Amino acid sequence: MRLLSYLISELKHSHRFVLFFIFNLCIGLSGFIALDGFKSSIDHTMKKKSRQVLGADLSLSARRPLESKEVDLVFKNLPVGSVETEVVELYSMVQFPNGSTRLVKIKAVSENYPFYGGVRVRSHYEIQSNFDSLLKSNSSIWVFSELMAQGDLNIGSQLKIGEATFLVDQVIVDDTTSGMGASFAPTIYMSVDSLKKTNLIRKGSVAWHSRLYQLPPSTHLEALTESLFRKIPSQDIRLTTHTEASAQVGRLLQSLNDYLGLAAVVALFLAAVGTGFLFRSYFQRKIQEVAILVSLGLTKTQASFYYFTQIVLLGLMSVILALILSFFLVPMIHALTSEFLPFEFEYVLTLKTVIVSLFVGVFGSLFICLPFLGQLKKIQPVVLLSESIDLRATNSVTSKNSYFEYRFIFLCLPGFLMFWGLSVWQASSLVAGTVFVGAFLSAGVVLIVCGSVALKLIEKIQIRPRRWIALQWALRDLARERLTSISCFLALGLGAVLLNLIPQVQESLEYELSSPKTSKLPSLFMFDIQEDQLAIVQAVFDEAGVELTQVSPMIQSRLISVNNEEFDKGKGAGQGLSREEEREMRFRNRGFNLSYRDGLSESETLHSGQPLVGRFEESSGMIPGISMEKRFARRLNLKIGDFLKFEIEGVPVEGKIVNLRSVRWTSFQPNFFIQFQPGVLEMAPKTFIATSEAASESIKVRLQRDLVEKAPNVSIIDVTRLVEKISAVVRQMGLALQTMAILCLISGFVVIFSILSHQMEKKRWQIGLKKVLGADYKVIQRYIYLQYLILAMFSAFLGVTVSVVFSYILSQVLFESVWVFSWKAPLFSTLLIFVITLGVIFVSSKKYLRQTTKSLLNVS
Amino acid sequence: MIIVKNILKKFTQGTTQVCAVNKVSFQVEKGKTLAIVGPSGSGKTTLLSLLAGLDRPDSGEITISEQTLSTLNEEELSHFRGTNMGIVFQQFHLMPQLTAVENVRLPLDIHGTFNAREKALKALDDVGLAKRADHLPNQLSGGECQRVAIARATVVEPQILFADEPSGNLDTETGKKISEVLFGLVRKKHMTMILVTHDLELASQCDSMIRIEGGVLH
Ligand SMILES: Nc1ncnc2c1ncn2[C@@H]1O[C@H](COP(=O)(O)OP(=O)(O)OP(=O)(O)O)[C@@H](O)[C@H]1O
Ligand SMILES: [Mg+2]
Repeated sequence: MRLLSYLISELKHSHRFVLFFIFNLCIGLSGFIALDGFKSSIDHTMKKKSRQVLGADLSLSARRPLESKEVDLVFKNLPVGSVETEVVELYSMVQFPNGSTRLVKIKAVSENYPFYGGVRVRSHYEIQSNFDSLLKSNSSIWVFSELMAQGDLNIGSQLKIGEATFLVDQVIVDDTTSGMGASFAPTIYMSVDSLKKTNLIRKGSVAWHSRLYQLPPSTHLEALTESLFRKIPSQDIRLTTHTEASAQVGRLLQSLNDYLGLAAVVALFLAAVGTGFLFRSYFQRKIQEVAILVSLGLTKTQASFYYFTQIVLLGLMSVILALILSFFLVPMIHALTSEFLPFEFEYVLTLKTVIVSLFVGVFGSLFICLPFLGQLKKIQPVVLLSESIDLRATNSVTSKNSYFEYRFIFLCLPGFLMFWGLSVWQASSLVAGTVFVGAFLSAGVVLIVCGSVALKLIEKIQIRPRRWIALQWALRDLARERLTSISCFLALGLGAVLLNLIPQVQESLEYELSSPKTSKLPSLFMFDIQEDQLAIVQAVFDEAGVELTQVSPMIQSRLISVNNEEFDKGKGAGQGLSREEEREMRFRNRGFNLSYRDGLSESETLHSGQPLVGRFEESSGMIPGISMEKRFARRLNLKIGDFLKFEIEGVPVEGKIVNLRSVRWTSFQPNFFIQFQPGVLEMAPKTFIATSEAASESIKVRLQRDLVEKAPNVSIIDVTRLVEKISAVVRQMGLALQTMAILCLISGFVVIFSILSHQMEKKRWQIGLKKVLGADYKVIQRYIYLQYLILAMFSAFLGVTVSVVFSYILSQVLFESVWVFSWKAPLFSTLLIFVITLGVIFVSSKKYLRQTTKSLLNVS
Repeated sequence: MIIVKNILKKFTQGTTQVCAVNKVSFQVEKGKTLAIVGPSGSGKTTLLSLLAGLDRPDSGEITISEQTLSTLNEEELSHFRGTNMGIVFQQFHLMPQLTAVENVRLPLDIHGTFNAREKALKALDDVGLAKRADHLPNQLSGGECQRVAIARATVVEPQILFADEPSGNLDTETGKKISEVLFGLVRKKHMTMILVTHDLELASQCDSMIRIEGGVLH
């Protein structure tokens, strides 16, 4: 059809519109596409490398030694040709010959380990899975290179671990099975036989005992796992497939990606708003032309088709450009998130990413333009016959035609649904996505309401025109052109919200983590203290003159039944589950740690129910009370009054939930999900957790050294170091989020720019007329600048306020943390919006202000 | 043949109702020209828009070449208009980004006619503008723009031509030339023409004339 070539020529003629449309949408899409590309590349890499992360196809593990009947049961049910190997992992302190101490992860392996992947040692370039030399000698260890430096170790150096002494045999520079924790507690490899010599594993020690399996390649892993799971009677045993294992390793990155995804959706949303505005002004210029075409015999269907084609074409071009841009953006995202990724990855543009981008780009553009295209129906060629029509005015959205207003809103729905869908998808959670969209909408509503009220007030302001004519004109225009004022206000305000929200939340998180004043962080955190060691540990601290605080018992148990119904251990196959459901499934699969304490600790507050009072007396004939962390209860679907039955080493223990409490986990105090009333668990086998607020670094070093000597199996976490580590992670997350925020910002500029240039186009008549009537250049300039600067200041101020409120709610509800007001971010965002608006007005008004009156009044 | 029977068109302006065209009936034979005259605000343009199917009457019936307009839906009406009618506006209404010849061929392209460029050039030649075929509207004078518009209205060789004050935006001299071109074309192609004008001299060139005042035929 020849119409297509008109279409091209029309687009060529409106190159400014085309350029802006594509640029804008492309910016919005590129963040989205890059992120999707990044995610699918990770998925791709994970799929390829997941076996290397686990080192096997499947693992069976528990936080206690596996019983031989359990191991036999599983192995019997594996396909012929399966191979097994034993691995034990635990944390322990080591003291280096140079006197320094460090928490390390000890990984004891046995014959056949690993089936896939492995380590790269300093003397070899390739990843190797040959551990023969380690397994043959019962005094060799392989050590992560980081420890070598810290402990001044060399190959052949001696190192005491627990009660045995080892020789460093190899230095490990890379390990396919190590995740993020490796930087906090580097790994030392030894054989399972060697581990026994150390005597580190005692009753109640935190250690993971596993069997890894290699299965014949034809095995259907999911089905096998499913059937095995049903056959295993114990509830505290976990089966982990290699895909689950690698997903767990990338979990933190995944949640970061979820947040990044939301930011990307916001950028896309802002870009969509900008594109909508661009299209609106373009389309309103076209209305007269459409009317002419209709008078020449073009049908409305043809006209719609024509514009649809145009939009699809523009959408396609944006997608292609954005896909190209993504090749630059993905390495950037990767660099920003490298901390969270356990392995190298390559960027592959998958077909899925391409299809998703095409879908979002093309349908997105259509949905954005749909409300305006809906007005095609309204165009009547009869307007061509009226002499002095201002087509732009008569056909604008402002017309008091309620049918078209409803229709407009109705036609906005597909776009909105898409926004919602994308949010849910990107956040991988229906709740999070919906809450996000809801918050976003309510911010919008707040802005609109405040804006309307402000305009009402402005209308009331009386200004003496003789002296303040520019201000009077500016205020009058703001008040009269309500719709435009409010849309500018909304775009600027939402921009301010987003710009300010992320740094605000980040500030609070960092503050909480770094400031000991508010949360009184302990400096050392000890776990795995055996009952008989408690006195020894106490003595070490007494000697150093440091108080041992928060000594809390920890008892391992299994939850048997809830209200006399067997506790469903539910196995998440992982398919089609949202992140929340997945989390819950993993959760249900666990043994539980119990503790007892009377009253609440500093970091706990009672949420609902009665406090636990006094000691439980067997003779009272009552049921012991349980206090449960409230989110934990919600996830397990438990409530006050529920009757729980646990089993501790074969002995049943019963209790009833009497209260729910909330816990500030960032306090790093020993806190437990489940606390019993004192008087119930005292006799159960247990270990202790304790903290200390050792003041100086030298005392800390001394304490750690003494403890390693006298109670070698007690693990010590240097909280100060950990907090530094976490702060670094939070900062990096913030950095990644800020990159996305910048995308939002650019989209925001385009929105402002498109609105303002549309405004200027509409204003050229007024400007011309005012000139003809004798207003001088200066007055007109002042009037234009004043109008938009007032708008910008007000929306920036309100937007920032809304974001501060949001950040408060987020800190309280989502992170349950301290909230601090940071003045830097709001000041920065307000200033930024101010400056940008100034720039945009300058650029977009210059053309019209300088034009001669003659050309201003010239119609076409 | 155009048959107009009892057509009525009302507009609401605020709270009052204005009867822009009030029970008007008349007929125009095929190949004849008719002038509609009357003072400003008398309903001429409204009547024309009803005849050209750009708007619909509240009551009454318009039949053009045996086709009753009220029986057509909007899409069919658009199509009927494109093949049977040409309209010349007072403000020309050319597409600013298209050249003269591209403007003229627009209706041909809408219908997917072959050899559109040749036909368009022929039509431009008929109005004496063959040489300016590749100019954009803003490079043409008002009179030239109107000639392009006339070429565009006649390029599909419609049976009926509607013109609303075709020389209203032009000076007397240019206006005269435009009406010469217009009448020349109408005679040559045996078109029926309905012309709205203030200019009684122009009206007198038509085969017949009707006078409308306050929406009523006199
Ligand atoms: N869309 C409309 N809405 C309301 N009233 C209208 C509309 N169009 C026309 N009118 C009214 O109908 C009457 C006839 O208008 P019309 O434009 O047909 O007059 P006219 O004879 O063409 O005048 P002129 O010679 O000035 O062009 C006028 O009173 C006008 O105000
Ligand atoms: Mg008129």
